[in-house]
Amino acid sequence: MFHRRWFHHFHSHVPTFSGLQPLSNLPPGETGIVVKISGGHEFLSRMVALGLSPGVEVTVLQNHHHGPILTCVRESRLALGRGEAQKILLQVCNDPL
Amino acid sequence: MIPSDIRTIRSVPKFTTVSNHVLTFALAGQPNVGKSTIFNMLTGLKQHVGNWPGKTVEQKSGMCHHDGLEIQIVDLPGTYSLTANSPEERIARDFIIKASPDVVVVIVNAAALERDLYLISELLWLPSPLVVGLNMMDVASQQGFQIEPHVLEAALNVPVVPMSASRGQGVLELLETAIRMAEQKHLPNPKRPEIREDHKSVLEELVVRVYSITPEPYPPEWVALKLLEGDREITQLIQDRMGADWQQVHDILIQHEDAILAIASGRYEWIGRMMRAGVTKPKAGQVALTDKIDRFATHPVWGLLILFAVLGFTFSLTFTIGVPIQNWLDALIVQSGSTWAAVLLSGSPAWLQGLVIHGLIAGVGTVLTLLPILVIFFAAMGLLEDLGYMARAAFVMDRFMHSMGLHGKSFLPLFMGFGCNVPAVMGARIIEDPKARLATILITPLVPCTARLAVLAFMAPIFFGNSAILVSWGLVGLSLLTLLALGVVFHELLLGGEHKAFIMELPLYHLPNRRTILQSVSIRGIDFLRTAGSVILVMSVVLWALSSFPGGTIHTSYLAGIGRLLAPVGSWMGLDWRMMVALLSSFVRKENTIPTLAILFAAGDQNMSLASVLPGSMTNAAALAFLTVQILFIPCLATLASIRQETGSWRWTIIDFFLILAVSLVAGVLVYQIASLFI
Repeated sequence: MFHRRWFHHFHSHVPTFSGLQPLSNLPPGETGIVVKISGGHEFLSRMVALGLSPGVEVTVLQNHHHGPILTCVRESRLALGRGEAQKILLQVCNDPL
Repeated sequence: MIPSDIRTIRSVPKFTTVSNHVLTFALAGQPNVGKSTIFNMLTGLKQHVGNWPGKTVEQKSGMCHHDGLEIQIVDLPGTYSLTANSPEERIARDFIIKASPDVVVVIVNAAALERDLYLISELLWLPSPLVVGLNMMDVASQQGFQIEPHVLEAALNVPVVPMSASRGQGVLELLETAIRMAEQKHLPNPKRPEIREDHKSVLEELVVRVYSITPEPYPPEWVALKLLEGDREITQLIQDRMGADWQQVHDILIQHEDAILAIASGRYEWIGRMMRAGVTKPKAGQVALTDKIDRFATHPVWGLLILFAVLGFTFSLTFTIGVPIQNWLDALIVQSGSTWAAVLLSGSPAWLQGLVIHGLIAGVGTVLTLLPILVIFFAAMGLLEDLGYMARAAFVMDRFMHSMGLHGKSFLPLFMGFGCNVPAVMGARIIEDPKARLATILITPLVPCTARLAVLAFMAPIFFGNSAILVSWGLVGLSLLTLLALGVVFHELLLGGEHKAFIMELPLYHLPNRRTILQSVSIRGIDFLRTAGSVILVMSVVLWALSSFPGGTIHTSYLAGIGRLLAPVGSWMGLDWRMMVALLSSFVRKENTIPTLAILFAAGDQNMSLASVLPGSMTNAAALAFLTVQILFIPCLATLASIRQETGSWRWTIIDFFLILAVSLVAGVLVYQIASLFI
């Protein structure tokens, strides 16, 4: 294991994709693309207003099994409760070593 | 009289422009864009703070004079969008649509422009002309963004004013641009975002259907858009007006339930175009300072350590600097004031001397000696807020506060309550959600403040000797458990047990601005003096009268009478009327408990004799009950006055008062009855 850069990073190679994952499952440093947001109209419109719309890239900054999750979306840092993060499904960008 | 309705008097909600000479500008913006700094700079201290009509959301408006023009500036609540998801969003859009301000000035953060443009994409559909204040240009360039305001202006076809408000740059230009816009007859058509291609026809169809029935100031295109977005308020409005025709519209909406995504993608596509035109993003891999700090500040372990270091420092600063000033003010105003008053009033009747010295001067003393602590505390809070740290503290504490249904931000003011409950109640202003803020304010009095801890520290050793420390910790623990329990109760009561979604933006760290902090300290300080201060002063006089009439001594006073009335309740706790009077007197100031007991038990040598007299006058179980009630008892006058000021409601203040009174007495009785079995 080595420490991954947890800021926005662009891959020089084409990333491979694995299945959909809720945002709450992503470890710090991982980046994914929002595919689906479940949980009703109101939640969806709130998320969209905060920049979390389908197709956007999200990087997880802090996620420690318990408590809220810190992410970076559209250059801003957004904290989400675990319950909210479970409703956001991402396509994870795998970084093949 | 008590100025019970200062808040409502000060808040004259103006939904219409009054005269032709007055312009109205609405200040809109997402949270964390420096909007309040700009509002304060434009209006100075000439602000009206109140609530929006019928809402618990704070309304701020102020006047600004420029070039002989009088401009009313209304600070709209900070919102991310203009859907009807929250009262704040509803207020913001209702104001723009119904009061039709001459100009809507929207402030955006240049360093988070991509997200902030979203609000502009919504505002462009409303009728008022727009001016964009592109704030935090300094921060954006530190972050490596290259922004060309002129290109952005051309792309939007809306005036864009670059500014760094915390350095005082651009505020005047913003104001002048807004005035120009207000006076312009023919406004340019801004470039608005459009809905994604595949939903264009359905939007057009809806516009046609709602066109004739859309009530006046609402723009029909906007209404159609909001229907597609599933906006509840607009849906209800149109449904009510359409009657039987609604079914067809409803069917269309059901068919296009995913339209909200088409609208969003249209908006973000438009935002992308704006960004490509006017902004060059920092190179990838450039780790911003904020992220470097956040690696530790938001970490579950490091974050907690940093938080406690910050709080410890704030706490010690408040007390090492505040308390000496407090004592100095006390000596200067209360003691020398009393001496002077005694000299000046030497010929006058005893009641007049009492009124001036023990009523008025003591009341002024309470207010003024609280000020140094409040000022230091507000400055510290303002600094942490402006620095951007407050949101991190909330993030770190959220996992613990969540169980109570409270927001992470509730932790800070509650913690400060250990020092003094007054700044804690006022500090709850950092919590944006009005219900969560109310819940926090209402449980704050259960945080044992230093004054109560001092009484505990004095009395526990008298009765419990070596076990005093154990008893003290036990009582503090009991107090915090009660706080938890009441927190859950208020959570049920106010929020219906609903777990508020935790969604919060962490702003970029930036160097705090002296002016912003000074302004927030002076506004809060003046607020305290004006509202809480006058309540404290009036009540001090009332309580002085209660404790000295009739007869001139506390033994024969009304207060003693009330104490005797309460004696039956006291007897369930093994306490006589004198102990009840001591509790009552703690209402004025929590420290009063000891001197009152000293007067009631032995008028001679104060503390020494009290320590020897008290153990003989009650059992240990009764003493334990007394300390229990004392630590849980009703908030002191100053706290109560600030609860009234901050909640803006006598009803909640009174409910809180009686609830805490009942809880403390029940706890006292229970403790006595149980302890009697063992001790």
